[in-house]
Amino acid sequence: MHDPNDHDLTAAEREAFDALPREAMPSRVLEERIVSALRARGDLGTRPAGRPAWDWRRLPLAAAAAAGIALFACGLALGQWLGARHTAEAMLALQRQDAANAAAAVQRTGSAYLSALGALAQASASSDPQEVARARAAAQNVLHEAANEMVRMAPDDPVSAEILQGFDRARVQATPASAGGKQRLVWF
Amino acid sequence: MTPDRTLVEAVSRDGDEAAFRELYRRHTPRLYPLVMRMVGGAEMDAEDVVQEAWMRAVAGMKRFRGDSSFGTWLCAIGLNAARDHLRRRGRWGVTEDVSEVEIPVPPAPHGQRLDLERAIALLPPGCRAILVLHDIEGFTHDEIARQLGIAVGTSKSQLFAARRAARTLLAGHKEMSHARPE
Repeated sequence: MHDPNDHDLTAAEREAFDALPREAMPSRVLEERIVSALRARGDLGTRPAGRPAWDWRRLPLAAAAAAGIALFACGLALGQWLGARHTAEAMLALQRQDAANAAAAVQRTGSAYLSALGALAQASASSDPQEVARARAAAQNVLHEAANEMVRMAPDDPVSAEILQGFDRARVQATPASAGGKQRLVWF
Repeated sequence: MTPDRTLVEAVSRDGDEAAFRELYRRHTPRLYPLVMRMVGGAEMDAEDVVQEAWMRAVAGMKRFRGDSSFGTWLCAIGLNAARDHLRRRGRWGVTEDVSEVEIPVPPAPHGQRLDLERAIALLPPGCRAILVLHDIEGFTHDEIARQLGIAVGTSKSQLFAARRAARTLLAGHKEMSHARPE
C-alpha cells in the first residue's frame, strides 16, 4: 500500500488481506430465526427433528425383517393346518374306536344275556317259580328294550319289528283276562 | 461425518430440521464474513442477507446437483442475496468507468487508526464486492465476471479502483492519525 498506482498487491498488503478472518459465526439467535422462518414456510418440520432420514442402505435389513415375519406367519398357518388335520383325524379315530367298542360291548353283553337265559332255562324246573317268573320278566324286558333299540337303529329291520309286534299282541291278549270285569263298568 | 449431499437430500425430501441445523452450522461460518464484507460491515444487514441466502438455498435444494461443493453453491446464493439487498437500497453499481468511483472520506473516530477491514467497508459497494471476491476470497476475474454478470475487463478495472481507494483511505488515515498530537 505504498504505491497507490501499483496494480498488484505488495507482500505487506497480501499479508494484511490473508490475516483477515475467513470464518465467523453469527449470533445463535439468527439460527433460530432462520429455522422458524423455514418452519413457517413449511420447508422444515415435516419430520420430527433428530429422527434419522430413511437410508436406502437399510433396505436389506428391512427386507430381512419382512422375510422373517412372512416366514413366521407361514409357519404359524402351516402349524394350525396340520394341527386341525390331526385333530380331525383323531376325532374320526375316536369315533371309529367308539363304534368298535360299542360293537364289542353288544357282543359281550349279548353273549352274557344268552348265557343267563340258558342258565335260567336249566334252573326253571327245579328253582323257586316266583324267582323264575321275575327272571323271565326281566329277560323279556331286556329283549323288548333291545328290540326297541334295534328298530331305532334300523327302522326297516323286519325281525325287530316282528319282535315288538309280538310283544304288543301278547300284552293285548293278557290284558282282558286280568281286567275283564272292570271294563264293563261305564263311568259318567 | 455425514456428507453434505446426504444432509441436503434429507432437508429437501423430508424437511429434516436436524439435517438443516447441521448444514447451517457447517457452512454459515464461511458465508457470514463474506456477506458481512459485501454489505459493508453492517451486522444486521449481514444477518438479513444470511437468512435470505438460506431461505433461497432450502427452496432450491432440489436443484442442487452437486457439480460444485455445497459451500461454493451456498456462497454464490449469498452473493446474489447480498447484491439484491444492496440494489434494494440503491447502493449497488458496478460501472465500467473507473473514474466514476468516488473515494469517500471515512468518518473515523478521533485518534483511531483505520484498519483494512474498515477501509474495505468504506469502499463503494460495487468495487468493494470485487475486491472482497478477488483479494480475500481468491476468485479469478472470470469467476467474478460470471458471478456478478459483468465483463472481465470491468472486474479488472474495478479491482484497480478498489485497491487504489483502499490505499488512499489507509494512507490518509495514517497521515491524519500521525499528524494528531497524542
